[in-house]
Order: sequence, then C-alpha cells, then structure tokens
Amino acid sequence: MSALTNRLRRSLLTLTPSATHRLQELLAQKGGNALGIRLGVRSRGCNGLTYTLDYVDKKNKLDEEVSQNGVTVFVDPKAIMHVVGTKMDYVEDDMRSEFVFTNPNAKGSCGCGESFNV
Amino acid sequence: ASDRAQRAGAAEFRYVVGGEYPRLYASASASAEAPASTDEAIHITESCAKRIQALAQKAHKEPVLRVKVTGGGCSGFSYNFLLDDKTNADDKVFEEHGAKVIVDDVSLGLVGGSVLDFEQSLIRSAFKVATNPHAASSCGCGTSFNPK
Repeated sequence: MSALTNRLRRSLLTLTPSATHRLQELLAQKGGNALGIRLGVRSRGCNGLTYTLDYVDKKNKLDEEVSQNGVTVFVDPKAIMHVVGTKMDYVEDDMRSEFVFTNPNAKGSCGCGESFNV
Repeated sequence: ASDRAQRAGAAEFRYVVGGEYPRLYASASASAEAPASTDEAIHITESCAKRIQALAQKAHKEPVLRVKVTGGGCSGFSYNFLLDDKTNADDKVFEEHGAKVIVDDVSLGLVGGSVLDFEQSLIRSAFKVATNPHAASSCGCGTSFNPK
C-alpha cells in the first residue's frame, strides 16, 4: 500500500482508544470468528440516516478497511461518502453505553446523535 | 422496535411500535390525565431487571431504578433513568424479575403501561421504554417522545 492510500485510508475513519477497546471486546465475544466490524448507514431515525454496525465474516469487494490497534473496521461502500472523516468514539456510563460518531459531513443530527443528515 | 421512520421538524410522525397508526403532531401538553388504557403498571423485562441488579450491586444499593419523564429531546419529552433507592410520597413502585422500578405520579401519567427494557446491540446498550401507550411518536433512538 502506498503512503498516499495509507493516509487516505486513515482519514476515512478514525477510532478513539475507547472505541478500539470496545471493538476488541466485541470481537472477542465472537471468539475470533469475525474478521472485524462493518460500519454502514441506513435510512432511519428522525434525521434521515443512522449508523449500523455488524460483524464481518467475509470482506466485500468494495469495502474500505480501516485498521487500528489490531481491530479492523470495514466501511460499507454505500456509507463511504457519508462518513468520510468521521471520528468513532465509545462512551459508557451506568445507564447507557454506545458508539458516538463525530461526522464532519453531517449538517444536522438528532438530539441523541443516533441519526443525522448530510 | 426498530421499524420507525420519523423526520424531525416535520408535522407528521409515525410510530409503529405498539400498533399505533400515523398521527399528527398536535400539542405537547404536559397533561397527566389518566388515559383510557386499563393497565397502568410498568413492566420490566428480564434483561432490564438483570441490568438493574448488576448496577445496584456495583453501587452497593438496592436494585431500584427510577424512571422520570422530563421535558426535552427532539420529540418534546424524554425519559430519564437513575439508580435511586429512596421513595417519595408520590411514587409508585413496580417489581418484576427481582428488580424494582419507581415512577413518580406525574411521570406515571406519561409512561404508565410501558415495558421497560435494556436493549443491547453492537452499537449501543441502554435502558429503553419499549412500548409506551402514551406516546404518539418517538425519536429514532427512543429516548424522547411526544405524548398523545
């Protein structure tokens, strides 16, 4: 991989340490049967789009791979234009724990951050 | 509980969970009147009860969760959850699967008859009011709703 594509790939999605830690946990729960987690978007929620996460058994041809600290996030090709530059974080408290996305493409988002529009 | 499609700011909301039909956003008055529903008790799912017990054990408290409805969120009202083993005079207590949920009188008028769940998925895990017969529509994530 050239230095340029490497840099491009890095800027597609960045993971905070707590996000990588949680992803490691989720993959460990699968007992090493999953290659990684796929990030996608789906029409839903009060602001148009919402993020989806799924285990990946098989890499799709057009998936973009973002690897950090031993975890791989596959970005669905349909989601790339919506999430490019996004920072993925994981926040946790007693009442809820969730992945939080800071997306520079989002023009607006839902109060809880679950859905967004671009 | 994911078959919902809403648009913030639009006049129409659709709320499929609980078999509700499309409804116009009318007013978000904080009326605590008891509606025609017969069952005003709060039901607790097993996963919710387990989570309350786990939290209580960690905090060295009784397994009691307070559910409170406050103004706010993109649909007018939002649910708040708090581990709280003190009860006040206007509280109602519900118990199921070894965990208790307390709801004050005013909030109960807005959530009575609901099922309280602890939803776990890859992307999030959180307490959730799963089916609220008092909600005409709710936000995509379910933390806020607008009452009938």
